Amino acid sequence: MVSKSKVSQLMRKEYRDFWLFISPWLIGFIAFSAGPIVAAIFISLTEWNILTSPKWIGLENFINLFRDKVFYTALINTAYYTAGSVTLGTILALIVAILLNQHLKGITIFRTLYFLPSVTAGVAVTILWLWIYNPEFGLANYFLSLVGIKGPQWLFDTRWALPALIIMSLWGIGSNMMIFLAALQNVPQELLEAAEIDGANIWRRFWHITIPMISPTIFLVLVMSTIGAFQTFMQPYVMTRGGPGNATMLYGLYIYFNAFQWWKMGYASALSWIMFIIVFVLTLIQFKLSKSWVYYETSEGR
Amino acid sequence: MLRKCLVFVLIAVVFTLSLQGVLFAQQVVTLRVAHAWEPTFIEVQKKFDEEFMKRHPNIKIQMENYSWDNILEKYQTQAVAKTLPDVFYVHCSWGQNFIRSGMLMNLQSLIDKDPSFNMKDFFPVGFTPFIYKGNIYVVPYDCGAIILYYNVDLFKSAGLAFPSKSWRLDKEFFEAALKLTKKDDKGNVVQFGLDRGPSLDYEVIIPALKSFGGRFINEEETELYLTEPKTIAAAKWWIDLVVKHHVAPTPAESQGLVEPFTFGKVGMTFGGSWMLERWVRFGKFKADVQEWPSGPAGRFTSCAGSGYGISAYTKYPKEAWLYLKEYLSKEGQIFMWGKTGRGSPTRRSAWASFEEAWKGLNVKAFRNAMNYAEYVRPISPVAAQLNQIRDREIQLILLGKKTVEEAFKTIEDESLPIMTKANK
Amino acid sequence: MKIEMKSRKFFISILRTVILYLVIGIGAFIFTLPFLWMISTSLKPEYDIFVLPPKWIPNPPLWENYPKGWSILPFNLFLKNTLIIVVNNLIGNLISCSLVAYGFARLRHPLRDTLFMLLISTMMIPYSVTMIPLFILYNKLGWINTFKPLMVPPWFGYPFFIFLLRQFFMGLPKELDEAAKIDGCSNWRIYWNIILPLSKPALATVAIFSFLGNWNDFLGPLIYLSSQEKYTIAIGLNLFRGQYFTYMGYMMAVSVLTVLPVIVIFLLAQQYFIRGIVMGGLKG
Repeated sequence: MVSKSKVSQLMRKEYRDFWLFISPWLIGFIAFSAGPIVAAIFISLTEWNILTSPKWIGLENFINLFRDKVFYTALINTAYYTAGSVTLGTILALIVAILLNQHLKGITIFRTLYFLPSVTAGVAVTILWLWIYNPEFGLANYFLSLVGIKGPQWLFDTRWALPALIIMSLWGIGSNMMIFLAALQNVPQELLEAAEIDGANIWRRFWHITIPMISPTIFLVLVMSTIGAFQTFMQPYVMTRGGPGNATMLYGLYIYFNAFQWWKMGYASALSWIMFIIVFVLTLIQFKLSKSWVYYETSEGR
Repeated sequence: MLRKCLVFVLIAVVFTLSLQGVLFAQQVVTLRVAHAWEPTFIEVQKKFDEEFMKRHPNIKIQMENYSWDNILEKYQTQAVAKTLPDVFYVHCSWGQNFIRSGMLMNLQSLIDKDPSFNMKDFFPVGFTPFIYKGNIYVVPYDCGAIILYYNVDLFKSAGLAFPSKSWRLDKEFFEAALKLTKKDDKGNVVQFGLDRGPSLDYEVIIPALKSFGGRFINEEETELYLTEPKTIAAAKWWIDLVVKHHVAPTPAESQGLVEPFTFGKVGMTFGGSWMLERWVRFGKFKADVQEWPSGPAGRFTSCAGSGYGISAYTKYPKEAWLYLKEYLSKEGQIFMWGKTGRGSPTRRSAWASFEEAWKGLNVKAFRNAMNYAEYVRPISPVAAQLNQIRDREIQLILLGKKTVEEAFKTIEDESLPIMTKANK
Repeated sequence: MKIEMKSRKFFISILRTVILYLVIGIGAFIFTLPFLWMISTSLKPEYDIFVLPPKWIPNPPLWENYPKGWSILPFNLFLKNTLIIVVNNLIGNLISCSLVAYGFARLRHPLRDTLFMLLISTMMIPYSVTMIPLFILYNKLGWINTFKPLMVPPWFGYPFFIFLLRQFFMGLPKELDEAAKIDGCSNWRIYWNIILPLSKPALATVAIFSFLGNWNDFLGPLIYLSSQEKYTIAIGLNLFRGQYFTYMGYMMAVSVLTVLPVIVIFLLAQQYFIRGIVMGGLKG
């Protein structure tokens, strides 16, 4: 029977070690993040064209925000884009990771090739996709015509522009694929072999052993992809500038326009905080849901 | 005794004189100058700075060069932290924003006090976006009229007469556009007669509408005239070039053809004097220019340019003004933009070197256009947002999703509140 | 009968391998297309770059885009600057992020989950809004136009890597920790001798991402650096974009050259992608 003082001494030691280990982040946060975050909150309550002093207007930015048609358009577009790219991207990344986890000759070269789009110059990727999607000369409609379908106008069609961007985002799965590959390395081979001997087929082995063992990583990929998708602005900026109409006006792009092209930093800040609240709530939900499906190998669980 | 006194006085005088030399020895001042040049033009800039430093050994020029896409973001962060360069490049679309925010030094008194600056040497229109309440804040280095460029080789092979000053938009220009449009056997257009006019972008919209009696915006930028019948008719004429006659590319086709005029796929286009370098020197075909053809309502054109200003809180106003004066003097403009042919200078005295650089071409068309050219608009602080609204709606018209009336009404409805708020 | 079954199994496994190679191969080809286009463009004169349908094989190849593109701007200098920043950040990230991740993964404290949510939240704030206040902060410290804003923060962790490593650490069996604790090991010992060695794939992933992220980082150097001698490769590449047109050939040539180190790091890090845990190695 351990004495109470001994237990509390151990706990205090663990508390102290906790602070020591996370101190790099904590110090960095206080030094470099806390100030700018408070400043960003302050900015959202002002009207600021960057070059002159901010003018205090209280909650006026937020009131205008809720009356702004483009705000709602951007939000809906972004929700649609996020849902599409996160689900498709995660599933594809996982499939490719499993495919590339085989002991085939030259597998390292294949892994490099799948990772290449992530390292390729953004300009090259964007130009190539502009061509692929070109309704007259592009590869996409060319392949569709081979099977007798007349392809849509893609980036010039308000209904196809967003799906086009989602498909394009799938080319960036190389990073998530790497993360899944790393996680797959720690699925014990013996467990899978034992299950195979017990008669479990590929599907059951995958669903009941592999997935639970990499569930913390799946959770990571889902959360990070959602956060990232909500902030996307480079692709629509370069490819469509938000058009046609406002069909590809994503939330991140709308913030960028307001902040740096239209000299409305205060409004952009207000938009950013609304987005923050939405993503925060989404992530909180993901965390709460994770308790039921993410399996951590720690005795106290999640 | 006298000798000792004399020696003492002599030493004292020498000492004082040398002290004066030390005290008044000119300290070296480092002047930060920001530009947005591409890699090949940086060499010309470096040469100018070297010569400047030779003339003024007490000033060291620190060149800061940024890529054109990002220079505005750079300025924005620097402006907030008050670390702007001493002298910096200002594009016409940023002019009013920078001026009204107090970022730039008021140069009016410096110009008035200095006769060597010679205001009369300048084309007055070049200062339009850089003046506020009668004071000059930025000195422009180029002001290029936007006129007609044409592909001489394509004209020859189509057996067409070259554009002349008497050309009319609705007659010879239109016919040439038709004749220069070629299709392949699949029905896809492989060569277009015209590029750029129907886009009604901010460089071409004023002449495009005015040639047919339409109007765009007023000088104070508080009113729009887009729903007037003549304006809509004018816009329709240009839009029909794409939608009805297909002599100009649709948005989808434009996207598939990167820089169509440069690569010889278009017979005619509109551009400013700064495009000469790309289209004449780089293009593999012979190109030439002509004034913007007149329409039923007369001959119009627009012009645009950039300049340099001095930061409002520079520590070295004297040196900055000295650099600016010499940079944009007759010799400076000849060296940087006249001889190199990179842009049509804003000083009349430097213009000859520009024409010399492009000998053999009809560049006097640019000079003639300066007599009636209007500055591009909008230039008020909300210009970027207005342009985005307009480009978005015009793309919808060209895609066939909206009529001209609907789209122009939307533009007005969305733009007017923004304009009134900014310019009341 | 047995021989027939054996040869049937053999045949199926060959078929399986062939199909696997085919599927992976087609996917790999699609994914490599932009890179192939980059190489193809880097060898073309500008006139051939934008023809449609695209000309994939340049004839004849314009090799001079490579030496010319590299020397028209001081890329040797840019390379040196980028290497300094990237190597520093790589080490800083690995050390700080693994320490913080261990704290969040293995140590208990009532405030732990709240602080972790705070960490995650910082990733949800778009850079556009904090960029200018951060710039003002660094300006007050006198760090503008130095490498410090780029080289100091990685030593204080990076939320994405901390999250990644924390998830990974939490997937390692706690029995290892407990066994070590019974033996009298401190938390530090557990971190250093048990957790880290078993996390090679995750650490290799962080290394790759850190290297890649900092190699291509554009926004940071853009905002904080003003003198050309301090520029990095990403900024240098962007200078090829003029106001009216882009020097595509040079840009692609230099891009191809600067992608090679990343691929090398990627291949080197692959050797750490080995299966970590062997169940039999656990004590009872």
